[in-house]
Amino acid sequence: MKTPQKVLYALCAVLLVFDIFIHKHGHFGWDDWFGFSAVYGIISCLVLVLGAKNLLLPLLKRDEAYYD
Amino acid sequence: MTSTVPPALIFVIGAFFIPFIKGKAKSIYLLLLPVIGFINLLNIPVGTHWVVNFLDSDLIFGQVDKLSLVWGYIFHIIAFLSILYAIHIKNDLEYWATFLYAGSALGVVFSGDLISLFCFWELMTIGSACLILARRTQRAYEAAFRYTLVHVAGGLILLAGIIIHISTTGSIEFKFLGLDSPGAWLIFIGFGVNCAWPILHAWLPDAYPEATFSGAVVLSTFTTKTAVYVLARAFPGADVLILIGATMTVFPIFYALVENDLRKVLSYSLIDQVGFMVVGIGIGTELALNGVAAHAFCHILYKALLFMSMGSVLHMTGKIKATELGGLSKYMPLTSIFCIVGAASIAGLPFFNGFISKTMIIDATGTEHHNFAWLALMFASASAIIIPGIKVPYLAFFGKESNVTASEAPKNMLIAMGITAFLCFFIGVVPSTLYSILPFPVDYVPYTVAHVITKLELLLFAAAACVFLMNKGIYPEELRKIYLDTDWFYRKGGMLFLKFARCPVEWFDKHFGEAYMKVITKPGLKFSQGVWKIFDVEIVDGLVNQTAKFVRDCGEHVRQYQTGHVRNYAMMMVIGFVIILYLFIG
Repeated sequence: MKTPQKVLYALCAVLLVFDIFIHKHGHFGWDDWFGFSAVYGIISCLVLVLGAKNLLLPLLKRDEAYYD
Repeated sequence: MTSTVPPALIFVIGAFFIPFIKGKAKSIYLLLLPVIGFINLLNIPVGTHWVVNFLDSDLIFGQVDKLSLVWGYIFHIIAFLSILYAIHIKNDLEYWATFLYAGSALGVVFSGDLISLFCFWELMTIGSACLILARRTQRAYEAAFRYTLVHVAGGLILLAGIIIHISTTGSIEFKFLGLDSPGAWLIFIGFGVNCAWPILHAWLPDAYPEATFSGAVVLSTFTTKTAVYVLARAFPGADVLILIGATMTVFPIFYALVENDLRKVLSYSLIDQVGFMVVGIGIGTELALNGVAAHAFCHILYKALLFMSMGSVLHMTGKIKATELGGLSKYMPLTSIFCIVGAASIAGLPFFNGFISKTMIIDATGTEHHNFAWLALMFASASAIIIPGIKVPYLAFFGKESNVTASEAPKNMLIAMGITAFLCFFIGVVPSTLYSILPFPVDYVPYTVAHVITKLELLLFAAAACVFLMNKGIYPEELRKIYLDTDWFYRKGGMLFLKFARCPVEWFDKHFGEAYMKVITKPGLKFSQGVWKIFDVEIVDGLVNQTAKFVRDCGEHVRQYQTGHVRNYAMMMVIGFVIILYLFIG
C-alpha cells in the first residue's frame, strides 16, 4: 500500500477515536450516534460509485459521435 | 450619491469602447473597468436609487440592500479576476462579451422592477452566448445555438409571467412575490431555467464545456448565481424549492463521476453546488438565506478557480478529456496546486471557504428538521470530495502518465489563479470577513470541534472508501463516451420534429425571407451604399476600418443566429412589448 493511502486510513482511525469524546449537537437524534458521519460517508461513496457504474453507465452511454 | 452611477452602466457602456483602444492601454482599460466599478459600488449607499419614470411606472435601476450587495461585490471581484486571467488573449469579442454579460448580471441584481430586470436578463443571454461562440469551432457554434434557444424559451416564460403578474397586480415592483398566482409561477419557472433545475438543466453541461478556456470561467459565475439571487429575493421559503434543490444536489454527481470531459465534470458539479443554494432559499430562514449568500460568494470563487485550472490545462495542452491527460503536475506545478485548493474548497474541508458556507445551509436544513433534504445535502457533501475533489486534480495532474507535455500557464493566468486561491483560503480561515457582509446578522460559529470532526469524518471516510474501490478495480474508469441527458429531447427529438415540420416551416421561411429581403435588406443596402460613398470620401479611414473589423468579427458570429427561430423570437418580443405598452396605456 502506498504511503498517502496509509495516511488517509490512519487519519480515519484517529477521527473515530475523537468521535468518542466530542459532544455533538445534532438535529435529529440519530445524527449524534457514534460514527454516524463515517458510516454515512462510506454509504454515500458506495451508492455513488455503484449507482453510476451499474445504472447510469449501461443505460445512458453512447458513442462520442452520437449527436454528429 | 451624486457621484455614483448604476453598477451595470460602467460595464455595459465600458464594453463598447474596448475595440477602439489598442495595445497596452487596452489591457489597462480592461483591468481598470472592474476596479472603477467596485469603487463606485462601495460608494453607493443602501436604498433605492436611479428611479426613472417610464409610462407612468417607475423603473428602478438601483435596489441596493445587503442582499444585492453580496452579489454585487463578488460579481465585480470575479469580473476583475477573469479579465486578468484572459488579458493575454487579445480577443475583443470575448472581452466585450464578458463585460456585457457581467454588466447585465449586475443590472439584474440591482434592478427593482420586473421590466428592467427582464431586459438585463435577455442581455445576459447575448453576452454569454458570445463567450461560447468565441471558441470558433463548429461544435461551439452549435452549442451556442442550443444554449440561446433554451434561454430564449426560458425568457419567454419569464416574460409571460411578468405580463400576467403586472396585469393582475398592477405593480411592476420586483420584491417578494410568493407562489400564489399563475404569473408568479411562470416567473418562478423562468428563473428556474437559468438556475439549471432538474430536467431544465441540460443546457449547462452542454454549453459550458464548449466555451473558450477563459469564457467558461466567466460563464460559471453569472447565469446560475443571478438566478439564485432573484429566487432568494422573490421566493424565499417556497417549500417546493427544497425538493428541487435536493434533487439538484444528488443526480448531477452521478453524471460527473462517469464523464470524460473534465470541464463537463465541473459543469455537473456546479449544478450540484447550486442545489445547496436552492435548498437554502426553500428553507428561507435567516440562517438559511445567510448561507445562500455566503455559499454563492464562496462557490463563485472556488468554481472559477477550478474552471481556471482546467482552462489552463486546455489552453496549454489543447486537451481536456480525462482519457488523454495525466501526470501534468511536473509540467504545471503551480496550476496543480491551485486546482487542489479549488478542490479542497468545493469539498468543504476545514480552513477552505466551502466549509464555512456549506455547513450554514446544512445546519439550517437540520434546524428546520427537513431530514430528507439534510440527508441529500450530506450525500452531496460526501460526494464532493470524490467528484470533483479527487477526480479532477487526480486525472489531470497525477494518475497515469500520458504522453502530453506542457509548460506552466502564462504569468497573468497564474496570478489570477493565485489571487482566487488565496481568497478561497483566506475566507476559509477568517470567515468573519464574509459573514460581516451577509444580509442578516450572523450568529453562527463554523469552527466548533463537533463541526470539524464530523465533517472530516464524513469526507475522509468517503475518500477512503473511494480509494478502496479504486484499488479493487470497482471504480469505473473514464471512457471515450458521452452520456445522454435531457438535452436529448431537443437534440434528437428536435431532428425528428424537423423531419415532419420541414414542409410548412420551409415554406414560411422562404416567403418570410423573401419579404424580409424586399422590405428591409435591399432598401437598407441601397441606403447604406449611398451613405458609404459619402463616408468613404469624407471620414478618416482609420476609425472606419477599426469599427468595420470589429463589426465584421461580431457579424460573422451573429450570422449563426440568422435563422427563423431567432427572428420568430424577435417577433414574439415585439408582440410582448406591444402588450405591455397596451397594458400601461390602457
